[in-house]
Amino acid sequence: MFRVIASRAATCALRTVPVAKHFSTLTKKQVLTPLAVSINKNTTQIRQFSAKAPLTKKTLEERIILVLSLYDKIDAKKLTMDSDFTKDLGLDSLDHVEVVMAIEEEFGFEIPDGDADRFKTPRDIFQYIADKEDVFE
Amino acid sequence: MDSPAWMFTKALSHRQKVCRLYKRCLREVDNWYGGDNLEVRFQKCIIRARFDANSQEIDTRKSQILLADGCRQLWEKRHFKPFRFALDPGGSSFDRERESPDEIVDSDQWTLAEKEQFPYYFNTREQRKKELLTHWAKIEKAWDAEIAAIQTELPKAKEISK
Repeated sequence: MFRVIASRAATCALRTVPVAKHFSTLTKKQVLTPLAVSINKNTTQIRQFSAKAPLTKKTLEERIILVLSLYDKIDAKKLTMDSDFTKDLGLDSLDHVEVVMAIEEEFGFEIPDGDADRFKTPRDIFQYIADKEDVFE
Repeated sequence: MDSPAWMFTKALSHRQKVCRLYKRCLREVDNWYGGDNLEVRFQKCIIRARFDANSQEIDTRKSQILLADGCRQLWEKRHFKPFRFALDPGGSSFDRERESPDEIVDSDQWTLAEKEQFPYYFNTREQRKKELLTHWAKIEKAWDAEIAAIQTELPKAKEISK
């Protein structure tokens, strides 16, 4: 398939001389990079209205820890996967609500209040999201 | 077995009700001020302060009135188009992703050359199937044990001594 495309492109380029010149002036790398990236190197690709990025257990754990450590009332040094929100991290119930909302926004789906009440440790959140998003590897 | 979260079989405690109200309030702020991050943060801080101001309320009657008043205010300031996550029910992309059934990978159209080319994939797939079957065997055994544990005979009547 690639060979067909390449041959077609070559014949097309031979037929139209200015296009061929245009190609020859560009380096190979510039042709291959997408338009948005070549205009501005700082723009990152955002997934809008498409499927979510695939999760693995490792990335899931990292993202949970990242979100929790960015919350200002949680001490990032004390934070582990098994530290209790109320006992070890010293959060009250309203903080717990805010944490759950941050997790919702990170993973892009709503967590019902009844399920959120059962979250005691980051491990519970991990397990819940792994169940919901079918993460098993 | 616990009932699912959406089925309200137990009465909520006052603390849970307040937490739910708080969450709804924050979402309402998102609805109205969404996009303007500073304003959202500011309004959320105000709401947090209003909740914290009455957090140590001892009088249960007053705290119930406060809760009802909060619900009333939330209802009065409700948004005409509340925020939904895109892939959740009610969201813009809900049900957009279609997953094809898993069986179609099990077709007999695979050639031997293809199976030779990807041994890891096909072997793990066979292994996962076996694991699923053993898991189901375990579950069925547990069900059988549960059924066997059901009492089928009436307890013997006690002899009344005269």
